[in-house]
Amino acid sequence: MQKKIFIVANELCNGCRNCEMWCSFSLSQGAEFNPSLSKIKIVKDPEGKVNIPTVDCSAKGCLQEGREPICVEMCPTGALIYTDIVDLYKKRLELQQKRGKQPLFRLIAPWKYPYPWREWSEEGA
Amino acid sequence: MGFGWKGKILRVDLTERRALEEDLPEEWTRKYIGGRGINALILYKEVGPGVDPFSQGNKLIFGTGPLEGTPVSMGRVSVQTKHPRGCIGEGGAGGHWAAELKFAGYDFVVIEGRSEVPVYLLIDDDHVEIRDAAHLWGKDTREKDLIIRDETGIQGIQVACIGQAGERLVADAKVVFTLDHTGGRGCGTIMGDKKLAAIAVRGSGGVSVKDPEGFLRSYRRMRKLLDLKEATDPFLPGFAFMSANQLLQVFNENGWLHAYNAQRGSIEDFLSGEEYLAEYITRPETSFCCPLPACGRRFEVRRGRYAGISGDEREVGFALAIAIAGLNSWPVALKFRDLCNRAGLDEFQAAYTIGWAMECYEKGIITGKDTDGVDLRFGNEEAFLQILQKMISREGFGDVLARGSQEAARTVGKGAERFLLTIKGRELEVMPQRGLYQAALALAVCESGPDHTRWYPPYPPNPKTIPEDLPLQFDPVKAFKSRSPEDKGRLVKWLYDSRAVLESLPTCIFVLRGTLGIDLRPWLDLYNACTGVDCTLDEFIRIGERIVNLERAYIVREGFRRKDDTVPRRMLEEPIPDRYIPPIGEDLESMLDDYYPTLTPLQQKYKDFKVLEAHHPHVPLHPHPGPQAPSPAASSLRL
Repeated sequence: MQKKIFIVANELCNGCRNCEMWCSFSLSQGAEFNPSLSKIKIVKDPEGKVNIPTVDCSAKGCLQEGREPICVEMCPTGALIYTDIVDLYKKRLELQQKRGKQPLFRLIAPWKYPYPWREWSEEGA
Repeated sequence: MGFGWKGKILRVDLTERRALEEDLPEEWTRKYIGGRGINALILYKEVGPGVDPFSQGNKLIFGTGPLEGTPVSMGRVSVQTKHPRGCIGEGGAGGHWAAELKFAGYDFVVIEGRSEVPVYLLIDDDHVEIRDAAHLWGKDTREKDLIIRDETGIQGIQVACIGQAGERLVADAKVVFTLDHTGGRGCGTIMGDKKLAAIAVRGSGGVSVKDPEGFLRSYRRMRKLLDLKEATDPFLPGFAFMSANQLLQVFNENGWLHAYNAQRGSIEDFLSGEEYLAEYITRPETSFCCPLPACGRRFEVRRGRYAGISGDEREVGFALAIAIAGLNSWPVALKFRDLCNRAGLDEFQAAYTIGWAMECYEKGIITGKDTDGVDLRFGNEEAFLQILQKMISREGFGDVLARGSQEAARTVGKGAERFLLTIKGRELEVMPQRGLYQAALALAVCESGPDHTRWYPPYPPNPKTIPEDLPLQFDPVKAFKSRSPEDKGRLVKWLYDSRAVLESLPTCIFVLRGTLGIDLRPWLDLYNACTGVDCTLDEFIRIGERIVNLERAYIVREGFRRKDDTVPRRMLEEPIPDRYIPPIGEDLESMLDDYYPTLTPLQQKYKDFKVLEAHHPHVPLHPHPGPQAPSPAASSLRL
C-alpha cells in the first residue's frame, strides 16, 4: 500500500477555514478553537481572488488517528484530500464518468460538487 | 464565564478618543445570550427615546455571541443602532470579521460619541488604537480595506468599513466587511455620522469549549442534517451550489417579483440562473466555517460593456431587486451590486427608491427638469445606473433620492406617496407580500422595518423533515399556505422568536433548512455543549421571545404603534394583473388580530428589566435619559 498524503485542490477551496478551526480543536484535545494552534493555514488573497490552504501535518496525533483526519472530514467542498496517489486518480476518474452522464454537471464548474466518496455519520468518517 | 463568552465589552468613546474595557454581566448572557439579544438590550438601556439618531448619544453596537469563533457561528455579527427613522437599525453580516473580534478577546464593541475628524479603529488583540483616517475618507470600501491592510501590515486582518454613501449620510447605508460581506441597513449612515471610517480587527486567541465530545457529536449531527445527498429541503442544493438559481425562476413564475415598482409580478425573459452559473460565477468564497460548499460565490464579468467587474455575492437579492426598475440583464445586476458594495449603499433601498422615482416619472409627477435630464423610464439601464451614481454622490436629483423614498415623496408632493413601497419609513425588500401571506405579516410587524432575515425561510418545511416528537404551536401545512390568513399569527410569532435566539448564538439563518429550521434542539445541544449552561428547550425559546419583546418595547417607546405595522398601500389595494393575484385587503387586519394576542403583555416584560437594573455595572460615558417608565400610551397599546 502506498503512503497516504495530504492533497490540496486549491481551486475547490472556498476559504471557509473549517479545517483550521477543527485542526486546532483536535490538537488542543477539544479544549478550544484557536487558529494560531492549527497546523493548517488558509492563505487568503486580500482581493479575494484565490485561497491557498497550506498543510504542515502528517496526521499523527490527530484526534481521529487511524481514521480520516478531522480537517478532511469537515471540509465542505472536498478541497482537502487524504489518500494515496493511485486511489486519488481512480476516484477522480470515477467522478468524471459519473458527471458525464448527468447534463447538470456539465454546466456546473468542477468545484460545484465535492469529491463524493465521503459519507456523513455521527461517529465521524 | 470562561467557556463560550469572552466576557468583555469594548467601549470606544470617539469624542474623548479613548477605549474602555468592561465586563459583560453574567445576568445578561443568561437572559439574552449575546449577539442580537444583548445588542438590543444595550440599545434599549442606553439610547433613550429623546436621543437624536444623528447625535453623540446614539450608539453603534457590533455584537457576537458565545458560539462565535466556533464553526457553528458561521462568522455572523449583528450590527445595531438607532436607525435614522427611529426604529431599530439592525443587520447581520457574515465573513471573518466577527470571528477575529472574538479571537481578539471581545464579545461586543460599542461605539459612542462622535469624532470631529475621520478616524478608524484598530483592534489587534488587546491593543486598541484610534487612528487618523483622513486619507481613507472619500475612498470606496475595497480601497479602504486594502489601504488599511497595507499600512498596518497585519496578516489576516479583517476590516469593517463604510463607503462614500455612509460618509455622505445617504439613508440606509450599510457596513461592508472584508470581501463584500455586508450588513446593517442604516448602520453605515450612523457610522458615517460618527466619522468612523473603519474597524480593523485581528485576534490570536481562541474560544474554549466546555464539553468537546458533546460539541463534536452535535456538530456532526448538524452537518448530517445539511448533507446534500439526503437533502429534503427543496432550496438547500440551490443555495449550496446553484446560487439560488431556482429562486429566480420561482419568483418570476409565481408573479412574486416587484416588477415595475410592484405594478406587475413578472418580467419576460427574466434573469436565468443557468446563464449566471455558466457566464459569471468563477469560484466559491464563503463565510467563516460555512458548512455549505458554495453558499457564497465570486462573480466576474468578462466581456461586454461592464467587463472587468468582479466581486462576491451570497444572496441573489440584488438580482431580484433590479426587477423593480424593469431590468432583466445580468451585467446590469452585477454592476449594480458592485456599485452598491463599493459605496456601501443598501441594494434594496437604492433599487426601491429608484423604482419609485421611475413610476413617478412615467406618471408625469416628476419630469426631465426635476431629474436633471435623466430619462427615468422603466427598463432604461443607463438611467438606472446614472441616478444610482448621483444618489451616491448626492448631486442634483440624487440628493433628493438619497434621503430615502419617503422623504423624497414629501419633497416631490403631487400625490407621489401613492407609489411608495415603504414600511416604517424604510424601503421594502424582495420578499413577495401579495403572493405569500406569511411574508406580508412578518414584514409588516418587523421591528427594524422590512427585513427578511428575521423570520427566514418563508417556505414550508418538507413534512418528512419535521420530527414526530416535536411540539409545534402551529399546523405546518395550514400555516405555510401562501394565500390564506389562517394560523399566520402563531407561525410568525414562532419564526421571530426562534430566529432571534439563533441570531444571538449567533448562527446563520440561511442554513436553517429542513429539520434545522423547524427543530431547535440541535442548536440547543451545541449551545449547551459549548458554554456548559444547562438550558432547556422551553427556556431557549423563551429567550427568543424576550429578545423580540425587548425590541418591540424599544420601538413602542419610540412612538411606533399598531398603525405602523402595515404593508404598502399597493399591496393592500392593487392586484398583480399578470398572474391574477388579488390584493391582500382585509386579510392583513385579521392576520394582525391573530398575531398580537400571541405576544405577552408589555407590563410583564418591563418587570424583567427591573431585575437587570440592579446588575447594571457601568456608568454610561454619556448621560442619557436612562430606561424610561412605560408611557401610558405604551401600556394601553393592544399587543
